[in-house]
This record gives sequence, structure tokens and C-alpha cells, in this order.
Amino acid sequence: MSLSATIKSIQDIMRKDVGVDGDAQRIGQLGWMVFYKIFSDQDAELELNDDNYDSPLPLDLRWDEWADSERLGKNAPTGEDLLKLVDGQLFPTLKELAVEDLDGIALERAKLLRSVFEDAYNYMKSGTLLRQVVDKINESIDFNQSQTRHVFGDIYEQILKNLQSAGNAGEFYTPRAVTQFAVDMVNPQLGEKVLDPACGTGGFLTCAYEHLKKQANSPEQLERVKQSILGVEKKQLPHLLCVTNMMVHGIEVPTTVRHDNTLRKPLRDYGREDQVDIVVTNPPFGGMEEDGIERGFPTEFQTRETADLFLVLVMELLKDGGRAAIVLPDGTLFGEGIKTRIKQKLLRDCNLHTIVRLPNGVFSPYTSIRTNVLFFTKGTPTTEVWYYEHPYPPGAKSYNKTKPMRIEEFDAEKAWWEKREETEYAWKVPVETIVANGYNLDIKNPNAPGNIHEDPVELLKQYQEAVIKAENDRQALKNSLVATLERGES
Amino acid sequence: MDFKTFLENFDAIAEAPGGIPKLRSLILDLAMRGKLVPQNPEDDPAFELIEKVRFTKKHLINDKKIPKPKNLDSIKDSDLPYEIPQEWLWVRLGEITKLLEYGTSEKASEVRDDVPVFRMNNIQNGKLLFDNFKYVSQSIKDLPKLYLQNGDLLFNRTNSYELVGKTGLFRGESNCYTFASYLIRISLFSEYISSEFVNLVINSSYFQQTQIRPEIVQQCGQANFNGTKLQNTLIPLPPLAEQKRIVEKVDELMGLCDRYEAAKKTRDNLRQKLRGSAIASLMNAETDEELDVAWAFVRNNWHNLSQYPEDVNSLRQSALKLAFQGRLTQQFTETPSASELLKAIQEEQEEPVTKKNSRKKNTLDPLNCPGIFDVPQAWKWTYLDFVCEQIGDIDHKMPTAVTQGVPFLSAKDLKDDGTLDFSDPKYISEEDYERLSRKIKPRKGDIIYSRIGAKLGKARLVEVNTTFLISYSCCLIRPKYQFINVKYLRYFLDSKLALEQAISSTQSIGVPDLGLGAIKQYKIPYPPLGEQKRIVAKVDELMQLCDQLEASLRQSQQRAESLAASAINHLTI
Repeated sequence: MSLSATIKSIQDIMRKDVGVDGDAQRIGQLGWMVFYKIFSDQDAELELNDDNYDSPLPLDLRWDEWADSERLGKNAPTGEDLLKLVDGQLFPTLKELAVEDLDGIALERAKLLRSVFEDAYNYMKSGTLLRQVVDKINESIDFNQSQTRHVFGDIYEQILKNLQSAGNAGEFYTPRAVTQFAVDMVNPQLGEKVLDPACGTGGFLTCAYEHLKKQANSPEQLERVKQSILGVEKKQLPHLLCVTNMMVHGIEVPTTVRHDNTLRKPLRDYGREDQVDIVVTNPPFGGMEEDGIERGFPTEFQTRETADLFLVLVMELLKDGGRAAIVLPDGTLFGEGIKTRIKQKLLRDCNLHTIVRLPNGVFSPYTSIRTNVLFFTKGTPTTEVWYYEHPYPPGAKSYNKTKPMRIEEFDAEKAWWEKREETEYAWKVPVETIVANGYNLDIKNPNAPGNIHEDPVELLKQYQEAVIKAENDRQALKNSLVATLERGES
Repeated sequence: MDFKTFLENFDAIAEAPGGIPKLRSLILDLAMRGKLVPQNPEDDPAFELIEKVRFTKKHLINDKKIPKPKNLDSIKDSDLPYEIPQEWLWVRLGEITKLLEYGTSEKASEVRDDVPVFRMNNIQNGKLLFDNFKYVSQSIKDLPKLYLQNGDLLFNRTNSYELVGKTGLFRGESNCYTFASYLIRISLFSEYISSEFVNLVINSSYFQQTQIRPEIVQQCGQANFNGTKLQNTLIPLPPLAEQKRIVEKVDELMGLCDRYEAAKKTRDNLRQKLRGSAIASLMNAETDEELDVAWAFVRNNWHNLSQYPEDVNSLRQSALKLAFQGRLTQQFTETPSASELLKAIQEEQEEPVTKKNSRKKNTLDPLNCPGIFDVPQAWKWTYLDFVCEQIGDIDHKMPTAVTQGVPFLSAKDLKDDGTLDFSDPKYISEEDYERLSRKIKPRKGDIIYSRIGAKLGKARLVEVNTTFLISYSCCLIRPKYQFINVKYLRYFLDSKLALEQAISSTQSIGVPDLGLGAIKQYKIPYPPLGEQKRIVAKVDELMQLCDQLEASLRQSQQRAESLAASAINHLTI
């Protein structure tokens, strides 16, 4: 069974349970269970490979000890017993997990486990149904199988898709193609710190990690890479999913992913030590922050639009010479008022060298809003902005579930990146034009086919030839029909 | 329609929208009636073919090569859709097939694997497309049974209603491909039955209309046609030699259709480009000579530039734009000049302003309004507000509609032909009229301008002496008649020049609307009065030309469409 089918059937089981109410709770339930399963799998692996590793998990509470019904057979707890185990032992123990005797990696992992279970909750009230869910998870999610790792993103896709309220707070799953492209272009190097201040389920972070992993030549370097991937997520559930995601990608202790709101800390309190080399992010847009958040920002930048606040924040969080790729809606590009001041600052403090304009439907089905990836480097003012209008693949009119955006589509941009010239899709705008236009960055493609008018006299000649050809072809068809049918008649 | 009329109107039919698909379906239907190629009495008749098929089939069943088929319904005379030539025979599809099988329900993936799977998207226009494959492994339980064999047909049994029944012929290497479960494989006795011919039959519109559509079951948005029903569909079967002749003929004619369709497409694209470029060179002309050349070009190619009624709109807009650039009229020295007129307005205005209803001083200076583009020296730019007596709307509260009373027009009553439509308005009571009309009272000579909804930006002159009111989807614009020609003003408001100003000043998404404030600040090119009049005359003339062109295009298009439809449905040969 495919992963998405598994998720679907798990949700169907949960629907029968009286305790689980609504999608959010279903996902919350699934979230901690998958996390715990993967955590346990990883623990087993660590114990096997590292003699010094001392698992923080009490032996009898390990996933395999109560969940693996294949091994336990009839002894696998179900019904009341299972519920007692989970509600009476598992949760209380893990919430209060003793960490005093631990050190090193085990200590970090114990802390992580504790913090996850402090926030999590077992909604299910039927032990029998819980057993069914556990069995489903066992059937299809095996951390030690590389294929599962490979398709783990699918789980999020499915989970987020089922989260009906997705988008209410402006959070969307960023398509893998976009995260991958952004990371490839920003091209993080060993030793650089990468931050996603609104990391969601960790799409950008895992891409950045995979990117850096390829460069690491020794276990020590890889260890440092793991420490240099930083993320912050405001909401508990995406944070849990992000942590799980990072673990799946091989970061055993994703303590660098914090559960916090980056915007809450007043801008002036961010100091040199918070600055990073690279920011890659897709901030929530259209979302609203709680009252007062914007007061952490200087008066001229105070707005309720989270995407704009994040843009200001990203400029602050970059080191001199730091690079960023940020996904923003069209609204930010053409907006006026506070948006103008933010763009003014962006062009003055940073070199906004490239804007890749994405077509509609990249974020479907969450939103059909048009988006852009802005690439900039802090420290030097902008002199010119290159635009690249990303076309749909040949034949496609939009993206959808079965035809999502694919990373290969960006090959054209990648080839163009180093050797830039104006094409049908790419054009260059000097900063003076933008300033004269009131900092409107929403500039249409002047080279789009149809915008260039050829000489009418030349066209007329071609047209007249085409008319004659069409007439001849029509006549040929007619003649052939006549020949055929009149013979048929005789 | 008889054949002669059809031939006489062939060009119109072929050029009508959707004409080529209609011709294709006509060709297929003629083929299925035995009208496309002559019958040859020397051919072995179809009933002999069926005898041979039955004999072979029995052997295969006895040898357990194929399962014993289900019984087919007997054929009653009343089932037969139409008459066929003597040598032909009506048969149930099940009779001439070895097997009808559903495809594999194995989950296919995009990852390249051993066996490509044909899915419903691969069936297009009777052919199978060899791209966008998904794959399954060689080891699935359905294989090797469900390998496609050269000459198999694939029938789409589940899809959206319109698409159920589409069928494609597999011509390719046997034992390499398989197919998905919502397709049915039809394997024929290819020694006696031409796969190409049966493919034509199933894709013909008679077959789809009489054999498939009525039996489709719709459930949960999916339409279905099962294998048992497919077995019982009726196929007109000619002798084998004739099957092959028909296929050959249809291929030849379809090939000609393809060529013509491609040529037509090239031509239409070029015409679009030609129009765009002709209009662009008209708009971008910088000197009078350039303008003359560009205008002569448009004028001489009037009919080449528009073939469809919609094409005329861009001609209209470009004529208007030229008019407002002063390029349709000659400039003379006039008294009073445009700036004298504007000063006169200002002097006149100063008196009422001193009265108690004096408004806040407008920050915009109507005597020094910046222009959007260059206009002749004798002209000025000014703000709409300045040359109008009143720009206003009613209270934004919807009054209750009554069956009789005062007509209450809204944006929908602004007709495309440039008039106001009083034939089907809403009505409001006298009391509501009294209450609501305190701010504005439309009367003859006013302009009604729509400012909300999809039809915004249209201006219509009130030409009748009726008491009526307009909803707030429109506003009333009453010019200062002695200073501006009302028809000139109407043309301005109706042009893109006005609308574009409004749109650039709004930031709203979704249903657009124009605020009164924005309308009042429209910048309008302001020629002297005599020239305004000349412009109106010139534009009237051009608009009439456009109207005629559009009407005649529309008429011929409609005629062609109905001709095409009737040719296909009632052609008697």
C-alpha cells in the first residue's frame, strides 16, 4: 500500500474514535505516533552503532516492546490494556523523563523527547482502534528502509492536504521543486549557517542539509553541518513534523529546530550572534499575527502582513555578505505604503539581484496566489534586478496534484544563472527605473511573445501566403470529398 | 441538406467555428453507412466472415485458449440504428472479439520500470500516445496475461461523461506494454476483422450516440460503461476487403483535414499578429507621415484585420485613442481656445464657491493638469470634474423593487450597442424615487457611467425624456454643456483611456469598482469646442464602420455555424 493510502486509512480508523475530533486532532495524534516510532527506530540504530550510546527510553516503553504485534503475536496489548499503557505509563513517563544521568547525544535526545511529549496528547479513547493505527504504522513506515525516507515528504503532503484549515494562518507546504531550486541557487557552503525563520515542516532545511551533506568529507564535518542548520517554527504540530522530518534525514538530535515565533522577539534585540550566512524561507503570507507583534519593529515598518515583517527580519538576520532566498507573493512586489519603505530598504541595504516569478498554481491546492522567489545578498546596494519568468512546462496550463512542479523545470534557470542574457523569459531592470516607479517591483515581462510587433507589411505578406495555403488545402479536401462521394453516388 | 448545397457552402462550413471537427465526424458517419467507398459484389459477403469467425472461436474455446463467452442478446430489427448496404451485416461486438478484458489494477508508479502502462490519457483521437507512461514491474500477477498485442483496441470505460467510450488502436510490439484497469482491451479476430475499421466504428459519432451514451451509468461524478454492455454494442460489418478500403479512404480524408486544420491555424495566428502589429504601428506613429502610412495600412486591410466579431473591438479602441490624440482631425485656430474656455469655467465657478456651500479647496489645478500623452498645441488637459456640472450617485442603499413605478436602471441595462435599455429594468416606488433622487435626477442629455462589476467603464447618453433613476452601480455625469460636447465626453468615458486611469488608481482584487473620487480626477484631453464636434463626427463615422463590420462578421459566422450543423446532421447522399 502506498504511503498516502496508509495515511488515508489511518485517518479513517481515527474517524471512528470518539476521542478524536477534527483534522487537527487527527494529525496531532498521528504526529506524535510517527515521531515516536521513528525515534525508537533511530534509537535502536544508534545503540547498535555506538557503544557509548545509552538510550533514554525505558526498556518496556520502547515502541517495539508494545507496538510490534508481528513479533509479540497474541501478547501485543490491545483494548483497555493498550490504552492503560499509553495513557497511564507512556505519556506520564516521557513527560517527566529523567535526564540527570545522561550526557552527550543521549541527553539531547532525551530533552527532545520530553519536549515533544509535553506538547503532545493522546486523543484516542479506544484501545482497539489505537491498536489498528499502530499496526498500520508498523506495516508501512520503516525508518530503516531507504524508500520510506525517500517518500517521507509525501506524508506531509497528505497530512497538510487533509488539514482543511491549511492556509488560514498563511502556512502552505512549499513544493519540493521550489525549496530545492532556492537552496541550489543560494548554494550554502561548509561552515555557513543556514536559517529558516518560519520553517514549517522543514522543506528548506532538509534541502539545505542534503546540499551540505554532499560537501562534507568527514564525520566531524558532517557533525558540524548538522549543527549549522537552524529553524524556527511557531506552531507545535508543524514543529513536531519538522523535527521528525529532520530525524528522517539523519539528524539524530534536531535541537537546532526551535518551537518559537521569530517575530515575537523585538527586532532591536537581535544581535550579531543571531546573524547567519544564509536564509532560505517561505514566510506565511496573508496571515495575521497576534496583536502587538508588529510593535517589535521600527515604526516605519509596522504592518500586520507577516510576509513583510519576515522580509524586514531576514534583512536584519543576515550577516554582511549573507545570502537569502525568500518566497513572497506578488502583493509585496507591487504594494505601496509600508511595503514601499521595506522595498526601499531592501534595495538600499541589499543587492536584490534576481527575482524568479513563479506561475499560478505552484501552491495549489492551498492557494492560487502568484508568488516569486527573491534572491539577494546583504551589504551592497542594488544596481539592477534580473527577472526570470518561470514558464509552465510545455503543454501544461497549471500545476495540480497529479502534475506538480518538478525540479527539472528549473534547469533552464540554472543554466541561465551564471551566463545571464535577455531571453523570452528573462529581462533586466536598472534600479533607477524601479525607484522612479515608486519601488514597484511587479514588472511585466517585456520580452514575452506577443509583445514584440513585427513589421506589418512583412506580416501581411506572410498572412496572404497563409490564406492561400489554407484555401488550397480546403480546396484539396473538398475535391477529394467530391471525387469520393460522387463516385459513391454513381 | 442535399449534396449540392453542401458543396456550394463548403467553404463557409469548413471555416465556421468547429467546422473541421464537424467535417471529420461527417466523413466517419458516411463511412459507417457505406457511402464513402463503393461496394464490390465480388467481395466475400460479411455473413461468410462471421461464419469463419464462429468456427475459429469454437476451436479456441474447445482448446481452452479462451473462456466460453457470455451469451449475447439477439439482434431485433428495432435495434438497428440505420440501413446498411446489402453485403454488410449488423453484429454484436462480442461476436467478433476473442476477449474483452479489464486492465491491471496494480498500482503503477512514475519510476521507470519494466512495463509501461497505457492509461486513459494515452488515448487521443483514436490513437494511442506513447508518452507520459507509468510503469509496473514484470512480476505482477496480471502479466503476462495482460500484455498488449499488436492490433488490440483499448476502450475507456470510466471517465467523465463526455470522454467515456474513447478508444485507441495499439500498433506496436506485442508483449511489451500493458494497460490500466479503467480501460477494456478488445482483441479481435484480425484475420477476418480489421482493427483499424472497428476503431473507426467505435469512434464514430453514430456509435457513440446510439450505442454508448444511452447506456452510461453515472455515479459520484464518474461515468461508467461496462464490458457486458460493450459486448452487446452493434457494429456494421462490411466485407473484409471493403473494411480495408474504407480505412484507407478515411485515412486519406482525415489527412487532408489535418493539413487544412494546420494551415487554418497558421493563418489565424498570423492574422492576430498582423492586427496587433498594424494597430501598434498606428499607436506608436510619431510623425504625421508615419501615421498616414500606418492608417492607410489599416484602412486598406480592414477585412484582413478582423475575421471574428471579437476582433473588431481592438479596432474601435485604437480609433478612439487616435481621436483623443488629435490625429483624426485637423487643428485650426479657434476662438475661444481651449485655455480660454478653461479660464471661463474657472471664473464661472468662483461665484458659487463664495457661497456657503463652498467646498474645500481642491488641490488639483484644472488649468495645469499634466497630460498622459502629447496632444496638439491648441489642446489642454483637464480634470473631468472641472468640465462637469455634476458627478454623483444615489444613496448606497438598495430600494425594494416593485412591479410598477419609476424605472431603476443598473449596469446591466447599459447595452453593448451604445444605448440604454429601458425594456426590462427594475422598478421602484414613487416615494423611493423622491427620497433617493435628492442627490441626482437623471434627465435627457446626461451620461450614465457604470462603475461597478464586470461591465464597468461603459458610458451611455440619456436620449429620452423619461423619469428614471440609476442604482449605485452607475453614476450620473452631467457635463457643462456650453464647455464640452456631450458626445465627445461620452466617447472619452467609453474609451480605454478613461478605464485605464481608473484601474491604475484602484488596488482592489476581485470585483473591481471605480470610486467617484477616482472618476472625478480622470484626466481628459480638452480640444476647443469646434474640434470636439469634428472629432465626434469622425469617430461616429468610424464606429459605424466598425459596427457594420462586426455585424456582418457575426452574421456570416452564425450562418456558417448553422450550415455546418445542418450539413452534418441532415446531409442526404
